[in-house]
Amino acid sequence: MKTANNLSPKDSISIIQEMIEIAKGNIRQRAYYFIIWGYAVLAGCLLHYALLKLTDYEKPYQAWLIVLLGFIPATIYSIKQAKSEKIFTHLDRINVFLWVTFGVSYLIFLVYIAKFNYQIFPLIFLLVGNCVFMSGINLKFKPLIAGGILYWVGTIISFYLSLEYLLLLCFVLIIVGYLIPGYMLKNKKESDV
Amino acid sequence: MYSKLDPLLHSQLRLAIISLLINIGEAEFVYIREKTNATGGNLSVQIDKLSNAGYITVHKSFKGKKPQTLCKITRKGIAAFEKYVNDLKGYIDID
Repeated sequence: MKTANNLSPKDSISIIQEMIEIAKGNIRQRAYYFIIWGYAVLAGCLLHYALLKLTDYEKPYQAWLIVLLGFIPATIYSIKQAKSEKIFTHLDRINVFLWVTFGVSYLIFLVYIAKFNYQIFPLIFLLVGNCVFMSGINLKFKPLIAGGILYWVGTIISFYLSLEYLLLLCFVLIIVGYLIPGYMLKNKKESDV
Repeated sequence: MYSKLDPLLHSQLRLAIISLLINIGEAEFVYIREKTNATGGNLSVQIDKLSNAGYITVHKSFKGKKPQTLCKITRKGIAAFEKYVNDLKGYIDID
């Protein structure tokens, strides 16, 4: 242990840097939420498409209820995390509230879906794009930033597509713009994040 | 030697504690001990010094049946850290 007398300014800088790196350490664990919700949305998307193309079911959009199953692993994981983690960083807080704003906005769109003539895909893509982009900025992780931009492009494209193709677009976006960046974040070394 | 630097922060462990808290706002004693590799006794002493100076607050409670000591950086602590970093610049070539 160095004392104040022999601690050089360079030592001080490296202590500060080291602590900053340590404080960033638990960011990667957030990747699991991308993976959990990515698969949940993927399941909803595929089921809606299957019901639409392969059956005569009158309300194929009800397939999206399957996404709610995502709450089970997400809740179990967050409880486990809350028990093991002894800190909640500023970045964690921003990240959590970022997705809370998504959840609230999504619920509002869902409740007033009739007012939007049931065409909420572009709005959802836009919301997801914003949150994925901001997550990428927060974590300084380029694949997520690219994922967010991809969702914005998808939003524009979605205005020109029929429901059938919208579901295919949703399928592509959730894999390329959400799940793959999520897996890349999971596999990233802590020190690189 | 480095007369401008706040002597309270110009110490390896106290600087590590404050740097950690600057990033995360608040943390449990156990977490700080793990991350700084300090002994419990030494950490307690340094936390007391920071707390007495008003740089951090220490809140003791129970999490279930386990005692929990939560350290939180104060505005005074943040200001002191910012001043310390600015003063450091005077000793190294940083714009």
